[in-house]
Amino acid sequence: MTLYHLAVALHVAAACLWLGHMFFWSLFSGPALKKIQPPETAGRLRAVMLWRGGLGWPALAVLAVTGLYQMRFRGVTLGMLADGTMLQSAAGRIIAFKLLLVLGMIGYQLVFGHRPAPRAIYFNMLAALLVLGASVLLVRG
Amino acid sequence: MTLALLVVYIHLVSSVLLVGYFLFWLIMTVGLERLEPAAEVAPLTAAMLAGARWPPAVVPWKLRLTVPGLGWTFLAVLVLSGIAESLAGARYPVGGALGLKLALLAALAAAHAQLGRRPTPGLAKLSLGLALGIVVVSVLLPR
Repeated sequence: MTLYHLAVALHVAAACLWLGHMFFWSLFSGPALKKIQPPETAGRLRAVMLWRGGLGWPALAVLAVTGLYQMRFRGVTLGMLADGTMLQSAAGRIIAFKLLLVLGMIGYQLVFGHRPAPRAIYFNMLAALLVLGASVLLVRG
Repeated sequence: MTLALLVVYIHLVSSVLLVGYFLFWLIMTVGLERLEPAAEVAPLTAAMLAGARWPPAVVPWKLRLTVPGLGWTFLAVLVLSGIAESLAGARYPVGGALGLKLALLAALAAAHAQLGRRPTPGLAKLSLGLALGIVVVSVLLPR
């Protein structure tokens, strides 16, 4: 395994942990646990689930470091985004779109963090799905 | 987006969901283990295994998925989309990274079968480790 492979593996693993936690909690386990009867049992189980949080920032740190390394490995720098040369190729535009979405997700993390955000979470999940789509296009497109 | 790319996308999204699913088990089992009094753990675990169903509305109760049922669904989507990727042209030599990935997948399915019946923090850690191991090995597959 090369350093590049390691960076990709860490990038994908961090994305799976962070986004997987968000998707599974928001779309599956949260709503399913809420319906358990009696409601006291449901409340107890939901309280148990909340003992561990704060996965977002460490995952984002890993994603940023490994993502920047991969960009550099492929000869892409943030300077190329700043002066617009990145936008001249299709791959560059996809990277720019992905970075824009990631910035939005960082904004969500800054504003809401681990607090409930019943509406904003859906925008965050949509951004996450688009980020995954952009990643597929970059690697396989 | 072509069909081949759509299959890759489905495979990636279901990997994300599967890792999230095993992370849920880890958080839940460790959280339950920390509960006082300990006598509460077994009834709460049983209530979760039997009572938590998805989707929480619209679909008749009997047709809703249990929590382990969700895990099996994600695994099935992963396997089917993985097979579809192979049929769509991704030719990996059997053995090496693919062999290791399939072996880890078999171990994960076995651990999940046990986790769905008697969830423990140890099994949850093992399952999450195996799921992340599959992610890491996938990176090594030749493109």
